[in-house]
Amino acid sequence: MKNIPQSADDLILQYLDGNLTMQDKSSFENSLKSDNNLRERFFQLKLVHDSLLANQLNHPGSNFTASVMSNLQPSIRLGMSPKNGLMLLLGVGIALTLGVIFLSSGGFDQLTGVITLNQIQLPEKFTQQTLPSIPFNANFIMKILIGLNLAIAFVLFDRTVLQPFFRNRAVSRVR
Amino acid sequence: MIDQLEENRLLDRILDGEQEAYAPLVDKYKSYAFTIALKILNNRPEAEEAAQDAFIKAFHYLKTFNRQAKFSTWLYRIVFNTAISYKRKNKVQMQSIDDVSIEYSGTSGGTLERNDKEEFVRQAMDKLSDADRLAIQLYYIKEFSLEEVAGIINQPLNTVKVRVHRARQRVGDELKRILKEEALTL
Repeated sequence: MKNIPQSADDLILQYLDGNLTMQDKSSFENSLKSDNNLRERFFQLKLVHDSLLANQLNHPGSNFTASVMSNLQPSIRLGMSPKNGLMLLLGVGIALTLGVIFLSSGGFDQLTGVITLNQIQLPEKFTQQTLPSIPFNANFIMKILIGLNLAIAFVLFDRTVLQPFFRNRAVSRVR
Repeated sequence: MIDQLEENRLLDRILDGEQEAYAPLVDKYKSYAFTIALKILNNRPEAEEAAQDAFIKAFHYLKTFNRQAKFSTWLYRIVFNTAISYKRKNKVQMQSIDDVSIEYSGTSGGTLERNDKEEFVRQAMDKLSDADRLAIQLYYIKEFSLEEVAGIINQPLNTVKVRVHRARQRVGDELKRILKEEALTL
């Protein structure tokens, strides 16, 4: 096959892009019928043209927008995946339930008293002064622990459920 | 569909602090942004990460967007630069040609099987430089005008025109060589 001149390539590409006038287009098509070299080159460039035309838009995953929106303000992120957050929330919920059941059934009522530090046997050099006694009430400690758990559960519920819910609702409303 | 007026209203609302107004813009441009990143990175997860990163950057730098250019062109240039920097950081592993996600499907006639034609054009495209390949690919995505392609890759319009024209010729030449080699091996 002979080398095709640059002007022929230009003509072919203009034809493929649909930029030729009707007259030029007709003349070019006639040339194609009579010129084997031009026809061969035409099919090469047409193959490239058609292949690239089929190269259309690609689409990202379905959660793309949600992912962008949730990362706009990283400071309000929980620092763990939603799945892990929910698992932790479930764990805190179970611990709370068990604590409340034990507390209401009086399981800690008997666990009260005083811890007398003087009863601990220590070498004499450490016990020159009288050590104090510490009152101990398991009921009271359990109430504090349940209160702390409630606070943690609320924060987790807010970060893993409430904030994503209201953010998604606001996003879908604005669309 | 969001028109130019609605887009400007959304931009105003975002600048007034209404973060949720950004979601429709992300929805509108995500496929274009992802496509640009994919053409550069040839890796879907990386391209998705780069495109998301670019949207977040655009959100934070929205105050610097002067609205003389189209928002889309400004955004696509951020996507282009982000994807290029991802590539420079060598975050992308070299892939075998089978993993390359650019899809072609020829429609020309002839005796070649469709998959063979796709493969030959792909091989020919691989001989182009990154800039030429991206320019030609974006040019053929009908949603991108030549002016927009020039804006995205930050080159003068005439340079891009010449680049696209020569790139197509080079792919044609390369294709001719590949087909000739194939014919000899038969």
